[in-house]
Amino acid sequence: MSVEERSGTWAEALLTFVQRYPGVHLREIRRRLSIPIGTLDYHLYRLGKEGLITLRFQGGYKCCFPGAVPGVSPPIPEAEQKILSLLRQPVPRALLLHLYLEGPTTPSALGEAVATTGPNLSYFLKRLEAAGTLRREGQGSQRIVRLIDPKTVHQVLLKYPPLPEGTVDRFLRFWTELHP
Amino acid sequence: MDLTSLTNAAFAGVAVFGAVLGALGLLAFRRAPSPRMALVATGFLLIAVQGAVVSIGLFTSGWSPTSLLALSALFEAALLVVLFVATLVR
Repeated sequence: MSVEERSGTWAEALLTFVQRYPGVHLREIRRRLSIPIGTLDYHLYRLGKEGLITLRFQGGYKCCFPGAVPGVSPPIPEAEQKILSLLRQPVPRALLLHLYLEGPTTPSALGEAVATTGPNLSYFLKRLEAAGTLRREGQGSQRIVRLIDPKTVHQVLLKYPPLPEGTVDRFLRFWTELHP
Repeated sequence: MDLTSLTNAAFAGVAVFGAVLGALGLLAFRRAPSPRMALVATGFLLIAVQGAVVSIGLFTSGWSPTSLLALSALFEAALLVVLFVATLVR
């Protein structure tokens, strides 16, 4: 069943998707719902004008959040919005999850755990640090990375569902996580 | 029981399944390009080509069983090399 058949209109499909997965970014919405970019821009503008969707710019991504409806759905707190928008991106999500589950660790162990290169890791750590979600302490080989607010990460992980994994995602994860 | 048509169907099945997994590999490679994903997709496509070639060979009866076996062995060897290299790279 197509998205259009299921929800009637693109606007409804878009709104339902954002309400179900708050913090999802534009490219991900386009990929998941197969909405043409022009149509997506138009509906986002329209829904934004009606206050049903709000946009937040986070690390070069345009992240969408459902608007607050008085008496029905309260607004998502600022701290949760910041972490949610990061958790919707693959590498920041892997880094935050590793730090949350394993606790403070060295950058090299972190890079190995999420299978990413040094420059890529450095780029994402800087972004996460700038967003105020983690802190790098110490110098050289003594350097440690830790979450600033693990409690909020815990709350966000419990409160909001992750994006569903498709067959291609599972296939990719299986082969990528395979270590020699 | 005609073993030739059974073998033919089995290799056709291998070709179809290999093609499906190869397509999945290509989609995964498009999503996150890496040498490993390229090799995995190549490996599955090799299986698809092997299935198709052997199936056509059996169907047309133009090739001797020895030639088909040799061809199969060649594809299997290439597949093993591709998958082995895929485990070494990321």
